[in-house]
Amino acid sequence: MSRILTLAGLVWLEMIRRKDIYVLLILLAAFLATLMALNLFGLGQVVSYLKEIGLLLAWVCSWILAVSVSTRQLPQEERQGTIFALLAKPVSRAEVLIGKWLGAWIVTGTATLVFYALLALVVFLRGGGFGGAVLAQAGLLHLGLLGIITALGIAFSTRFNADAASALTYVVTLAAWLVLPRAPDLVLTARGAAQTGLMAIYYALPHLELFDLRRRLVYGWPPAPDAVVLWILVYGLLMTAVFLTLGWLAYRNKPFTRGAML
Amino acid sequence: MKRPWARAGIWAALFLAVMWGTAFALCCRLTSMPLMPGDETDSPATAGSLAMASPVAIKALDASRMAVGDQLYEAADRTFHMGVGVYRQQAFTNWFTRLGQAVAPERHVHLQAEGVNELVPWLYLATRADPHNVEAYVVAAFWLAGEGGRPDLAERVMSEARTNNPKDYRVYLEKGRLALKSGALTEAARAFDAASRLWDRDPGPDKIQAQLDRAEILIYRGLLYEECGDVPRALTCYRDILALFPGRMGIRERLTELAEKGHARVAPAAMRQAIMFQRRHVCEREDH
Repeated sequence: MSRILTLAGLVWLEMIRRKDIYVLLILLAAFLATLMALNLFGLGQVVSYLKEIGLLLAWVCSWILAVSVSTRQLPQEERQGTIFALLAKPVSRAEVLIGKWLGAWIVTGTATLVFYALLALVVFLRGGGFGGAVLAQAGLLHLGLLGIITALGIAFSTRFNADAASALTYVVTLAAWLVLPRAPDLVLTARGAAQTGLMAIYYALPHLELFDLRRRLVYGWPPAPDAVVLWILVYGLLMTAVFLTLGWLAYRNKPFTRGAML
Repeated sequence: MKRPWARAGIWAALFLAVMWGTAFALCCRLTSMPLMPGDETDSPATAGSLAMASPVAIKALDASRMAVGDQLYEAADRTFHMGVGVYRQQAFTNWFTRLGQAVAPERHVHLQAEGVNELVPWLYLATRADPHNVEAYVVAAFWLAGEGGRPDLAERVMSEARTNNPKDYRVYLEKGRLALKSGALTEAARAFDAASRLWDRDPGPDKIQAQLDRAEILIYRGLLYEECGDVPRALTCYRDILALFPGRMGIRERLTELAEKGHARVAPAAMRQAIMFQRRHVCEREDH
């Protein structure tokens, strides 16, 4: 366990050194400032648009961060040749994989909480606020979602270089996000192979839409039932475990060649 | 060698995204801006000078602009329903759909009182994306002047709508409604007359809605004629309504009363108030 935490700590240190989080945070702040500065037909004291667009931006930023951080960890080690030094130590490949995933998840999770805090501050300055219990649920489920995305990114990066892995992760998560919630009604109009394909996608891809509590948060609805949130978190944990296992299966016997990822 | 490129990738992507957004906004602005006073047009496809330079590009741009505007208008509708989207029939239910339903808010509710102002930002953005989206202007003005409690802002919205859509009858219809609400009857009559003239020239693509709007213009105008004591003109308005909608029994009865007694049982002012301040039909229960 300590070896996994050490590896996760290395990811954390690397992210502090890099500028990705700062760039996204500045961009988010700039967007929110622009939204606040809009003269909405001269109407002040309205916040729901700020909450909705702000949350969307926070989600997009955390999604970009989760994919970029998770998919470059393993290819970076191979490209720099540090994977040889790493594996020469008493650390297994499974530990490397889990350590990298844990580091990526903690980094993106922390950044996401900072994004939420920034948004909450902006909304507060505008005279609004978020319901505490729903905010806690939304944050928790968002962390569950980031666990799946980072696990998927790590899994792809075991066999692809960073660019290919990130492109694949973007495509799969975007498809899951946009198509799956509509699949039950799209099936009504699809026929034959299209219908079969749609159902295959529906059951194969992770249901990321379950982790989205933004509308409850924006419009002041009461919290979701605790049992439902728990089930979704269990599902998120399961999907994370599935992707990490697939990643480990792809990684455990992978031969490394110096300069292969250059 | 690759590392600096990989690191620069996110910067390049963000830079491109910002540049694209700026270019899109600039193009939207240019295509919606008339060259000279009097060049205003309600047809987005021919607006501005760029339309002459590259019609295909402008049409593509206009289509995307309108699509963005429509999405923002839908967002306003969703806000009005407190985040509950449009109901869609599902082919099946399973564990995932049940969990999804438990997480997403589901009741059919509407924003009330000053809360309706929360949908105005979306309508504002919709009009920025597509200044010819008259419906967005009209809806914003309707709620601002009504439950939103800001008739001053509603006036401002409609002034902007008129600048961008000077030949659209719907703008004048709404201006007439606003004037009625504030008790400016002469101004209202002028606005309904303008709306009627513009409707004759171009009733718009939606024939059913155009007929409903025509009937509304005529009923308001008829009631205003009645209030001025000009019964013959009021009768003409009501006959025109019955020509469009023969089944409107209330209008038929009013027409008969006016023709026989010279006045109707319900005073025109009371009738006008009753029509104006009822909450306009918004959606069916099963829509959300």
